[in-house]
Amino acid sequence: MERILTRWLDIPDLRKLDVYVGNGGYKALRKALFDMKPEEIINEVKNSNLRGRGGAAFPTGVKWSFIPKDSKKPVYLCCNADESEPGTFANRYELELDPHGIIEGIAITCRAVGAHIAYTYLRGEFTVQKRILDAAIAEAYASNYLGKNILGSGFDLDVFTHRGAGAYICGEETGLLESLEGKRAYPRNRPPFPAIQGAFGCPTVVNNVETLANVPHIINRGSDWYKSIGPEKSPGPKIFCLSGHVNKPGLYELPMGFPLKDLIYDVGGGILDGKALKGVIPGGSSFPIFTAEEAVKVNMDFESVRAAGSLMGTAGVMVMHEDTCMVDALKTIAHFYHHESCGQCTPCREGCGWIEKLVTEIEAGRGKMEDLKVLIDAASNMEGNTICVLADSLSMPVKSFVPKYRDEFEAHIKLGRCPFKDRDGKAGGLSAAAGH
Amino acid sequence: MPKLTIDGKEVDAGANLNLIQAAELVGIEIPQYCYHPGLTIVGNCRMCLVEVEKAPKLQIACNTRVAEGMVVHTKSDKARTAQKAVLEFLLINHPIDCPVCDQAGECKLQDYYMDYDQQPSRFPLPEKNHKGKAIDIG
Repeated sequence: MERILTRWLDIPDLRKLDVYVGNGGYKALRKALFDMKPEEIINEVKNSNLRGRGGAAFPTGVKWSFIPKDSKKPVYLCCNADESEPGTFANRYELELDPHGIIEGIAITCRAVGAHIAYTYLRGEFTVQKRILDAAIAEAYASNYLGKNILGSGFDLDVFTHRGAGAYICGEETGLLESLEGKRAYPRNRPPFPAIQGAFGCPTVVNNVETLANVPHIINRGSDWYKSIGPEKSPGPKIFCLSGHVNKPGLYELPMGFPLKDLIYDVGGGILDGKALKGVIPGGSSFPIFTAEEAVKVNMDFESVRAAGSLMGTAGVMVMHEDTCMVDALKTIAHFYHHESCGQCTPCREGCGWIEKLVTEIEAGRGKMEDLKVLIDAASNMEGNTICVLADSLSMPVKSFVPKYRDEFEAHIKLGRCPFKDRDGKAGGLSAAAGH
Repeated sequence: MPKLTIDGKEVDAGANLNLIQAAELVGIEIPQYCYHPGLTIVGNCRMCLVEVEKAPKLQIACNTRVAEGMVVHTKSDKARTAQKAVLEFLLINHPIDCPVCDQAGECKLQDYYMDYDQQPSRFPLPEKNHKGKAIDIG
C-alpha cells in the first residue's frame, strides 16, 4: 500500500522544510487557513472517523468539538509526545523524520479549535528529537508557517516544545498538563475535563503525535478518502510497532484492520528460530494478552481487538514465542507499573507493589496456590477505582495472564522454581525478548 | 435546590454540595480519609467510592457534585466491595503499632476496619514496608 505516515522512507531528507514543501507540504495548512472555516475543519475530521492514536482511541473530531466556542480564556493545544508505553516507538521516528508533518498537523488543529499557543510535550529521553523538532519549528517560523499572521491569513500561532523528566505518568493527559505547568505529574480528577479546564485552567486539547500527523492528510485528500482505508469505524493508516520474538521487528505502516497473523508471519517474517507462537500483547504492555489461538484470528483495528477481548492501545505489538516464561513476562510488566505508579491513589500505589511482590514470589518458586486468587482479587479491586488508568494498565495484563497461562503459574508453584530455567536460572522472558 | 436519593432517603441538597456533605444532611456517613471541607479536593484516598446510578464506574463522593434526580448507593455490594478493598490496600503497609499509637481509639482506620474487614491480612507480615522509628522501643 501507499505509504502515508511513513513517507520518509520514500522521500529522503523529508525533515527539511524545502523538501517537505516540495512534496506538497503545508498545502493542507493553506487550505485550512484560506478555504475552510474552523467548524469545517472539525467536521471534516469528525467525518473521517479519525480516532486518537495515543491509546484511548477517542474520536479526534469529537474531542475538538468539546472546546467551548465562546471561551473568554485562551485555548491551548498540547501535542503529547511523551511516548512511554513499553513496546511503542513510532512517535520517536515521526519526530525525527517528519517533524514538519507534525507542525502542520498542530497548526491545522490550532486553527480548528481557535488556539494560538501550542505546546509539544516530549518525554525526557527525547533530547535528539527535541533538537530536530526545534530546528524544524525555527524553519517554519522563518518561512511564516508559524508566528504572527501566518501566510497573511491573520492567524497567529506560537509553538513551544517542553521536555519532561521521563516519567511514564506524564503521558496521561492530565498528568501531562500538571507536568507542563511545572508541578508533579499527578493526574487530575475528572470532571472538569481538559476541554473545559486544562493547561493553566484554560480549555485544552491534548492529542498524540500520530493523531496530529494524520490531520494534514485528511485535510488534503478529504475524509472520504481517509475512510476508504481500513474499516469504517476506525479507519486510516496506522504505524505498528512490532517487537519481541519475530524475525523482522520494527515499524510498519499498514491500514487499520490488518490481520495480526499476517503482521507476525508475513510482514514480521515469522517467529524467531521457527518456534511456535505463545502469546501476543497487541497494544503495548497495558493490555490483555492474546494466546496464539486468539492472536491468529484478530484483525488489528480498535473494534476487532476490543471484540476479541483486548485493546489496541498504541499498537505496540509484542510477540512472545514458546520459550517465554509468562510468569517472568508478567513480573517484568508488574515491576514497570509498580515503579511508574505516581503513588497518588491508594489502590494503585499499594496494589501495584503487592502484585509485583506476589508475581516475584511465584516466579522464584516461593508462591502458594492461594496467591493466584489473591492476584486476581487485587487486580480486580484496582481496576476502575483510581483517578487515572495506570491501575487498569496493570490489572488488565494480570487478569489475562493468570487465567490464560494458569498451568505455567501452577507449574512454578508446584516445582518450586521456574520450569523455563535450569537451576542456574538462565533463560528468557519479556525483558530478554524486547531487548530492554 | 437539587433533590437526590441517597440509600433510599430523599435529600434536598444545596446546589454546590458534594455527596459527602449531602449524605451528612440525612445522617449517612460515607467513609473518607483525604477529604476535608476546608481543603481542596484531591480525591486520592479512594475510600469514599460510591455507586451512582447511570455512571459507568464507581464515583468518589468527595468530587461528585449533587445533581437533580441522582440516585446514590453508599452501601451497595459494589460500593462496599470497593471500600473494603481500599481498606485492605491501605493496611498493606500501615504500621500495626496501635497499642503505642496516639491516634488509637480515635482512628478512622480502626473504625472502618471494625466495620468492613475484620479479617487477617492477606499480605505477608515480613514483607511490609517498615519505616524506621525515631526511638526503637522494640
